[in-house]
Parts: sequence; C-alpha cells; structure tokens
Amino acid sequence: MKKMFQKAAAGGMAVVMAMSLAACGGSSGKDGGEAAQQGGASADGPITGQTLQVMISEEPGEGDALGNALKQWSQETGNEIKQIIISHDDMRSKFPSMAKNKDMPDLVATTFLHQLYPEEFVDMSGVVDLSKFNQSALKIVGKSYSSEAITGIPDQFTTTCMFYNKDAFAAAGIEAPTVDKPWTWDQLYDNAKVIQEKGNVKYGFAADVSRARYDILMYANGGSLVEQDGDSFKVTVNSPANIATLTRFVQANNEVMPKAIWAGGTTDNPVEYFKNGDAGILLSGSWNYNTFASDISKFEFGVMPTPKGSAGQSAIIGGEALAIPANGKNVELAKQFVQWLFEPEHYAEFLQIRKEPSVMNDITYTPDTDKAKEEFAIMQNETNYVTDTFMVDENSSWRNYKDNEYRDSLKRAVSGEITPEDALNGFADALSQSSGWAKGY
Amino acid sequence: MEGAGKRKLEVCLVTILGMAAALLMIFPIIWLCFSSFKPSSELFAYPLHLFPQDPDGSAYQGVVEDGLFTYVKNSLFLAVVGTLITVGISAMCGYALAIYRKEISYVNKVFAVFLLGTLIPGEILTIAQFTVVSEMGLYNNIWGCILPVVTTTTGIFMYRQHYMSIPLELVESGRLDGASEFHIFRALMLPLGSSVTITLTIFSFMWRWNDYILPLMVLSDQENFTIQIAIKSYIGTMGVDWNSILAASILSIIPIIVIFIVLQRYITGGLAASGVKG
Repeated sequence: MKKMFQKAAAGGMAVVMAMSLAACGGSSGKDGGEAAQQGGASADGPITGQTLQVMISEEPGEGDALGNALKQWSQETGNEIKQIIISHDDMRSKFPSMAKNKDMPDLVATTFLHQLYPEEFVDMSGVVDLSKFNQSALKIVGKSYSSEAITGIPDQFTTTCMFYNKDAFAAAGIEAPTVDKPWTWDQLYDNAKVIQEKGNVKYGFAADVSRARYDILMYANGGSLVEQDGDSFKVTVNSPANIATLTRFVQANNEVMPKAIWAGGTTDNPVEYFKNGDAGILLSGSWNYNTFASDISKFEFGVMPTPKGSAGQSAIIGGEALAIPANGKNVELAKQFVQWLFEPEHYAEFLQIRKEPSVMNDITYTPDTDKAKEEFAIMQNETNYVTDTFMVDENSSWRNYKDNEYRDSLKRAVSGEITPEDALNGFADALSQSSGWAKGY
Repeated sequence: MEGAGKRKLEVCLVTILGMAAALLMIFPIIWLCFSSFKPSSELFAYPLHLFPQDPDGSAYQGVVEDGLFTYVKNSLFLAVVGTLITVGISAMCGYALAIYRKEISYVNKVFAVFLLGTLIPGEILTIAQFTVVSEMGLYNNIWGCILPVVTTTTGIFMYRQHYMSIPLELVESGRLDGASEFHIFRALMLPLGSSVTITLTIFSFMWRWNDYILPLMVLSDQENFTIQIAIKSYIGTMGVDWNSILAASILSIIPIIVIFIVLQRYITGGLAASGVKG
C-alpha cells in the first residue's frame, strides 16, 4: 500500500510539476535563455573556465564513454564538469521540480525528457549538422513526441537482435543463419524445438518480456499497431495478420519458450536464462552484448540475424540522447560540448569505449576481435530492418494513450486466459476509445 | 511435576517456533549479505548457492569510490538531526496534550485534529511540502528535507498516552515546589518517558534514514544526496548493477541495525507504555 502511495505521490508530483513547466519554461526560445548569455560565452572562441552541469540516469560503470568524453573535453577546454545522477524513473519527477526552481542542468542524458517536454530543450538542428546522423536514430531517439523538432542527439544507439548458444546449436546439429541467408520465423520455432530436444538447454527460445521485442514479430509479418489515416491514425492492432502472429507466439510459448515469463508466472529475466545456458536463442537487444562477452564463460555465444516474416525482417531501435535544456545556466557551453563530441575523431573514440552501433553515418565501432567484428556487423545491419510501419507507430505516439495495457493483453493471451483474438480486439477497443482514432478492423 | 514438564515443553516449542520465525525474517538479509560478495556471473546462476563460490568484494570498493560515505554522512545528518527535533517536539506536544487536558477545554479537540491528520498518507503531502520548501528558499538544502517532516502524530500520540498514565498530582507537586513548567517537563516528566523516547528515536531514525521522495525532490547537488537516492542510481535504463545495489544496501542498513541492537530492549516497553490509557 505504501509503495502504491509513493508511486501515486511521485506521479502526482510529476503532473503538478509538469503543469508548472508551461509557466516556467520555453520562454527563451530555442536558442536558450538569458542565462546562456551569462555563461562566459564568447563569439570569438571556445568558452573556458565555466562549469557544465550534466544530469545522467545511472552511476557510470565500466566503459563510461560519456564520462570519459566529458573528462577529455574538460581538460582540453579548461571547463569543469559537475554530474548529477538521477535514475531514469525519477527523472520524470525530478526534472519538472528542477524547472520550477530554475535549477536546470546544462546537459541531460535521457531516453525521454527531451521528447516529453520538447519546449524545454534546444532544437538540435541549430547545434550540429543533422545530415551526418542516422536519420532513423534521430527520428526515434531524438525527435519530440509532439513536433518534428530534433531535441536530442543520440549518444547511445541500440537495436533489437538475436543471440544464440553456439554449443547448443552444435549439439543439436543446427547451423546458425547468416545475414545473407536468414531464417524465417517458422524456421526459428522449428529449430528451437530441435535445440530444446538435443541441445542440452531447457528452452529452445526465450524473449524479453517487452512489447518492443514482441513487436518485431508483428512488423516482420506486415502488421502494425496503427496506420496513417489522413492527418490522423486508425487502430490496426487487431488485424488478421497480427492475430495470426500472436497465435503463433502463444504456441511457441507452449512449446519452446519459458512460458511462465510471458504468462506472468515469474519475474525471472530471460537474459539470465540465456547467460546460464538455459535458453538456446534469445530475442533481446544489442545493449546486452558487452555483458555477455564478460559474463558468459560456460559456453560460446553468437549473434544471428533476425528471422524473416511474411513482410521481411524487422528491428526496433532506441537509445539515449543528449539534450540541452533551453533554460540551463550554460546553454552555450553545453552546445560546445555536443559539437565537440560529435566531431568524427571524438565520436570515434567515444564509440570505441561505448561498444555500440554507431549513430553517425560514416563512423563505425571497430571491435578488437574478429568474432566481435562479425557480430557487431550483424547488429549494425539490424538497424537497417527498421520498418516504415514501426516509424508510423512511433509517430502516432500511441503510448500516450495506452502503454502497459498492450503488453498485459499479450501476456493474457500467452497465459491462455483469453484468446489472441480477444486480447488484440480488447486492446484495439481501449486504444481507440482513449485516442479517438477509428478502428481499422 | 507433570505440570512443570508440560510447561517446559511449551517453552521449548515456543522457543523453537520463535527461532524459526526469526530465521525466516533474517534469511533475506543473510542472502543479501552473501550475494553482495558474488560476482555478477554468479548472482543469477542456477542452481542457486547461498555462499559465493568465487567471493569478490569489488562491489564494495566500487560503491565506496562512487562516494558512498558522502551519501551516508548526509543521511546520518538528516536522520540524527531530524530525530532529535522530532523527539523534542513530540515530547513537548505530548506533554501539553496530556497535562493540560483538564485545564484547557479544547486540548482534546486539538488532539483529535492531529489524529485526523494520520488518515492522510504522508506521500500525499509531498507536493505541498515541496512547494513550501521552495518558497522558503530551502531548495537544495538538507534542512528542506528535515523541517517538513519533524512533526509526527505517532510520536505525539505515544508521549501523550504515556504522560496520561502519570498522576497529575506529580505535576502539581512540582508546581507547588515552585518549578517552572519547562523545568517540570525537562526534569520530572521527560525522564519518566524515557522508554517512549527510545522507541520514537528508533522509529524516527528509520523513517528519516529511509526517506526518499522528499530528498529526491529537494536536493539537486550530487554531494548533498542521501544514501537512498544513491542506491537508486545503480538502476539503469538498460540494466541493473545488482552487485553495487547489494553492496550499498548492506552498508546502508548497518546504522539501522546498530541503533536497533543498542536500543532494542526498550522498544517493547515503550510501545506498551504508550498504549496505557490514563
């Protein structure tokens, strides 16, 4: 009960503070406020002797690429760095309270603030040359939810991908698919069954309990949550193609997956199942790669391309962006850092530490080993499979109306509580009612 | 003799049950402690092991390097100062509500209003508290986390109930001897309420130590953060640094355990005393 009140209070706080944002922020336009003029800015050269306050979402661990870049920039320019660490979930409450007290950080590394409160952030088109960046990444990670403005530049770029247990594949006599010759989803389910029987693993296939992971099946089979309908959208989540996809997924859960995970019987993380050698194939994301490389010693793992559906392959991308609050004390200094970071030599160095797919067009991460090179090439290639249907869904901002209800509907179908058809019809009704969008089916 | 044997058996059974219950309660802490020494590859490995197979204390080193002691110091200041003020205010308020109940007609009505306040969950008040803190210029100041929460109806209630169990004649005799009201409170009544003081000290310390929402909203300099905010920062968007969370959690509960061990014998007495009706 206490936790419920805490959540309610935090939520209420966020709402009240968010309302106050309208009064506090956005007054200084996209190029920053008065404070920006007081930060020691000089039209003739770089700013020095100032302090850049950076808000990040977690205590930096090993391979702190952003921290390393900030340190290097600080040494080169003679500016100080001051970090404030607010966990991802708490940023939703903390940021509005900072705005209310005119205590904005100069730079924020966030996955959502710049999209949720775009009026509070500097438009990045005036800071860096956006044409040098992966446009899909900019749209998904950097763009405002309510306009076309790019209010953040991705500093972390992730993609969904598939990992597999090489030892289990060898034991089952199965050859991994290649980029040129990917499996179909039906082949994956069939092979998962063989791996489960002969590969010395408990489960042939496991997937993160995330609608963003499930949705790559939907997009691969030509489905989508909504479709463009003139200036608006129509709800298509309960299309026949989507019902067929969910029906097959439910079947796979009954046959080759740890059903309790998606059915809601456990909070176990399927990533741990894979790390322990209990799952032959894992649908997760590129952010796990470095952890797997350091933690998995019982078997050899690999990365394989996502299977094809009836419409082709699909991937969902995401990540974190660097955003500059328009009312920060040192807006120009923050711009200076962002410009510095995305200079090719600095970003290349940054990427070597970050060990992730690149967000800049002409720069890629070069791993140390041939194995890692091959696997990163596969992950980078996955970013090409982002479908137009995913982009339309993202543009609709459907999550503003219903979010967790979608995953809950999927889980209820997997558990057998309701049929896949009822699950998707129910969610389509709920989304249509909340959003005011017509139903396509 | 038969009765004595039966009594021994009962005591024995109750003791065993009590020990089993205690073990059940403490087991998560034991698991937490051992897990904090496991490398990340062992944390979720099946089959589960209580003891780390390859003990590793690097998580402790990591959290200390991340500035854990600064956060502990801030939390200690918040908890100690907050507790001292809470106990002081509660004792005086409880004294007034108990001793003046027959002299001032509306005292019981004031107390009823206090009790009504307990129906409002503390978290609901956070928005109002934050607004007041901001207007008072206490944003990003540790006092902004202390002052809004120093009054507690629970503490006032405990003292009031305890003082009501003490004959009013004792206060009257003090007055006849020429003692001031504050002297009667400090020298006569406060020592008599020591069990309540200790109980409230323990509770208040735990409340302030575990405070999360208000410090999160009020504090904005990393060096002012409390241990609870620091622990949450190990939960990232793409993963959770369980090793650091476990190590920081173990270190964060040490002060609470020390306080409890030192003062535990008074807890039961204090609670019992506060429940006595005058």
